[in-house]
Amino acid sequence: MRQTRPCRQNSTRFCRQLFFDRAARTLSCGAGFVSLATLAAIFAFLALLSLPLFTQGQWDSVLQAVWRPFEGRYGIGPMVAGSLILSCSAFALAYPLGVGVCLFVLGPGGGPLRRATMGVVTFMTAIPTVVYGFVSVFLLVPLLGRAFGGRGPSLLAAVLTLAVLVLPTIVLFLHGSMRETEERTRLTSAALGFTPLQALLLVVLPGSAAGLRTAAVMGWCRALSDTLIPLMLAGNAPQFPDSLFDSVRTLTAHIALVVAMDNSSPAFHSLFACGLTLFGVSLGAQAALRPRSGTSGPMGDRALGLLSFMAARPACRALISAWAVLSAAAVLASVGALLAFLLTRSLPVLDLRLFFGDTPVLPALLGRQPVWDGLFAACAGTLALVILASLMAIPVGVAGGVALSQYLKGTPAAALRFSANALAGVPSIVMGLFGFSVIILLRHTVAPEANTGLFLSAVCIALLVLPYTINATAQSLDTLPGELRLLGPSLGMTSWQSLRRILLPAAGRGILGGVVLSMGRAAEDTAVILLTGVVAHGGLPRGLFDKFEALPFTVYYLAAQYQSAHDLDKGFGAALALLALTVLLFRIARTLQGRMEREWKH
Amino acid sequence: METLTPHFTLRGVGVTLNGRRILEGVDLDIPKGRATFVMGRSGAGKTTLLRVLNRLNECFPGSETSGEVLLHLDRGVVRPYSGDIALPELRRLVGMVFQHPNVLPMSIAANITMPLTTVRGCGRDEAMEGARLALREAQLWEEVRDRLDADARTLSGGQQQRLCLARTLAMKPDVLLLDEPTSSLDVMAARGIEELLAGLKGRYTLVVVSHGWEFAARLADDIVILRDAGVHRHSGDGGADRDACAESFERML
Amino acid sequence: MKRSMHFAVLAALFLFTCTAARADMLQQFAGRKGKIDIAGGTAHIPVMNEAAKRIMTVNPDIRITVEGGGTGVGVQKAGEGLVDIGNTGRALSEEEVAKYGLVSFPFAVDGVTVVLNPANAVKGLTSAQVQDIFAGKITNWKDVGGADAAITLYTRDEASGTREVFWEKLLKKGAVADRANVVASNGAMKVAVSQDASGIGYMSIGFVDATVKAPLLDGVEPSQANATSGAYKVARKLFMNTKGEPQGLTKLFIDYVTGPECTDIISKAGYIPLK
Repeated sequence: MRQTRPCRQNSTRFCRQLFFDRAARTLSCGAGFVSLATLAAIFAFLALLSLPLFTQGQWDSVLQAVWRPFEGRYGIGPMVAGSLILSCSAFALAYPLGVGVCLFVLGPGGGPLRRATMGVVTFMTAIPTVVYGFVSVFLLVPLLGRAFGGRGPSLLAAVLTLAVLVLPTIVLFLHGSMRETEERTRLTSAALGFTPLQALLLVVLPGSAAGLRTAAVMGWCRALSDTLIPLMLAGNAPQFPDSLFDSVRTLTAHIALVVAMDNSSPAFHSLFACGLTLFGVSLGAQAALRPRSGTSGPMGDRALGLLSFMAARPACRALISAWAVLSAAAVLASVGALLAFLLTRSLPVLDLRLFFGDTPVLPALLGRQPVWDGLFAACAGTLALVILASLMAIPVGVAGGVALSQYLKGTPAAALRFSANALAGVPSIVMGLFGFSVIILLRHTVAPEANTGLFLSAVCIALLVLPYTINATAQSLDTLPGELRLLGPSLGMTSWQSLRRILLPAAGRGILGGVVLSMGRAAEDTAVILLTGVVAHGGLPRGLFDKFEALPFTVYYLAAQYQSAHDLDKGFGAALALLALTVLLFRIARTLQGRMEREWKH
Repeated sequence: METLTPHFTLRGVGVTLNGRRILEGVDLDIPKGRATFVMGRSGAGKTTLLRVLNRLNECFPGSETSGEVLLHLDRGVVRPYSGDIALPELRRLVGMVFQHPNVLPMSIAANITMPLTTVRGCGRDEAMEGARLALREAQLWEEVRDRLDADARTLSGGQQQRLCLARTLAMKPDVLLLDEPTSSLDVMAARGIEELLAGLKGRYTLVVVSHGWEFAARLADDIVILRDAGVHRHSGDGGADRDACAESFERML
Repeated sequence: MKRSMHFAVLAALFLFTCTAARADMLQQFAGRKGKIDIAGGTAHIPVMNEAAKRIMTVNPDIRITVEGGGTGVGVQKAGEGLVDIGNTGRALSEEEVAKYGLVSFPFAVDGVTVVLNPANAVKGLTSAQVQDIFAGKITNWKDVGGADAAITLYTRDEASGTREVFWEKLLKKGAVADRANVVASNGAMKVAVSQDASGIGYMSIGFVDATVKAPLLDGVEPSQANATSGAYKVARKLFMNTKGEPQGLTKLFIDYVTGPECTDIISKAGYIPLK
């Protein structure tokens, strides 16, 4: 008979395995609830600070449609309209384009052009918001002026730029889901005699209903919560727009413009009403778009009917193919224009002087001599910020995503999923406001020496990017085949062992996609650091709690403040440097991904 | 007729998954050292019944198992659902092979050694030795002995399924649960698996879910038919009763 | 011959004392350690930066950070104790002083002027015209002597000291049309108006350069000299503010900026140093 080999399967080993399992479970669930706790804290804070409006009986004045502080009128109506109009218009432009790009990329045969398009879109996520804004100010606005009459900033400029900004978010979420479905069903579709386009319309799109919904929600919320593009491009007039060429002010830009007012005035309190409104609207959008049954409900019958209709008619199919090609072309053209403009203006000024001014390089790098008139301190500040924020956000995010996918079921899972999405919808300016107000609270109570600085900014940014990692981890784990999830337990593995050895490696690519998105977001954020510790001039940060310089703020500041052609050139140089930094981070993440894959294959 | 020692005894077992009652009032003995086939219409709960035996239903949300399940070991009778035996130990003793060969994207050797080192705490050499034995038992050794470091996904479907079997065998189980082991394979590969299982029959207790009556006819010692959440029929020795089973199956349809 | 010799000796002595004095003032920073955080008005930044640079060159152990944000940020952050010095482009109100206990130190005079695009044909405007334009009553350049084009308005954000001064002293607290585009700093105003042929805005005179045009106001040229003499009425002082009386490094810094050594920095930035 066969020999039984004990192989040290004894109780202490088993106890240790159980301990790890339990620890993993507790830590993950704890991490998952960080997002819920943050959400609750932000809400509590906004509500608390809007309270004076109610206690002093001013809330009806805030709900009006006129903002004229010099007349004592503090209505936020025009800003609500501005936010909604801008975000909906940008979304209405970006979503069809996004779907078109996905259809193009997943089209027949693959091929270098389609792969390159996907590569370009992935590259676009690395382009900082402030660079989009910067280039638009100097390229798009004059172009629009020449085409339609020189009217300066306008809703149209902001809509176009914002659409280009949110497109990659939409495409990445949608493409991830569609590609999974397409790979699974490719043979089946071919066997049924579908052309590749028909397969996409009839099988892949309906099968990616969850992806379509997530892409829509994330894309629209991104558009709603952006601060920098409307601040730089939309004109900021507090009025209801009559045409695309009018100037509008969004709630986010309003917060940035008004935050520096006296904090007992009704104008200041109206800020928190704005924050609350933004918060409420994005929460409402999340709730309304949540599928009614289970986590990934099927596509509605009408949508399916429409797709079948289109797939059956050659004319419709031709139109859709044309639209796919057009979308890809539009995306490539806009990115190409942006890069060309940026490079032609910034490459001539790219030299050591741009970074180090007149200081010799080595002492500057070692921090022994300060750098005047150079970008070095800003580069160092941004790098420090990204590393710090990532160290905080990634472990918590991955653990939270694991909790969401593996350990939590039913109501806690739904609550966590909802809170992660809602946190993603929190505008960065509101997060910055939150961080700033926390410091004020700390100063008045337990920690009178607390101050804004690198650490506060890193914490706020970590909270901001948490949802990306949570969602990516949870989604990747959820889309793993059912039998793979049963494999570990069937071999006697505890859930932690199964996660570590089988599931997390399998989902690795998806998780890293989320990590990449988070790091890029951390590097390019301007609105949060605006309120939590960035300065225009400060040199290298010498400690965790020091004020710091940062590249995105330098770009924004120079775009607004340039005194001379030299300053403007420095701005272009800074924009290019920031872009290079974010692209580098991105490349590093991809290399890590490759290494992870190889490690798992041994 | 020889007395059959039961390996598993099920009394009044019912399973609810996600609010739906899948199995109800199942009374069953699974004899030791023989091949028991579980058959029936799609959706009747065959796989669920299989998963009762290694408590794998608990990996699904909202699962409840009622009734009594007894596992007869050399050391006595244990109740897996009452905590008499640790879960990893249960799942070692009752191994499972799935319908689709789910090899892990590692080398062939690592597919087998990884569970051994992770779950059973074996050292590297012990694990390698165990892997070799298992590959021999699964009749895969001759084909892969020269390329143990190759990616397991380069194997053919039949070879992959045998690798999965080897992976399970390496854990030294007493019972093998097989969920439609040949349905995703071509005829030749399926035949290979069948012959392999026939060889394993005496040393292990096999419980097989299958749609194939020919397969059952060739291999099964006992056949259990599931009908509409619960009503079941336990047919005696295979072979002689094959025609009777086929008739009753047709009547059931 | 002798007179020129005397003159040369006197000049040399004078230069020597000046240099000695400058070195003396900066030398006070030597051997000290610490940091100074400065925030507030955007107009002050060039002066703050240059002063900080000189100090930090003499003594790298001192760290001086400078951020903008506008007058409102200066008041708020200095008041809350988040920065050591808050810069404002207007005098503090009584409520602000009472609430935060801030002390003000003016160091320069700056005028606020209307600015137009250089391509605009209009050469001068009256106060009444400016008030009507910003209130939205005059909407086309041809009504004030320019081309036939709609006027684009640019104004500053709520927290701006520049805006406060302009609104009080030129607009006489009149209305500003809702449709006015809002920009967040003097520099941003300059960029906006220089890129819009039919734009009109207002900003610090120190920021005016060849890319914008400052028209005559009621016949008076908007220059720093006229602002100091009082001929140009829309003027304000630039202030540094601290919470309570300044101590230590902060006091040294304020003395330095308001002292004689920094007059060249202030002039170079386009303002008139106070003396």
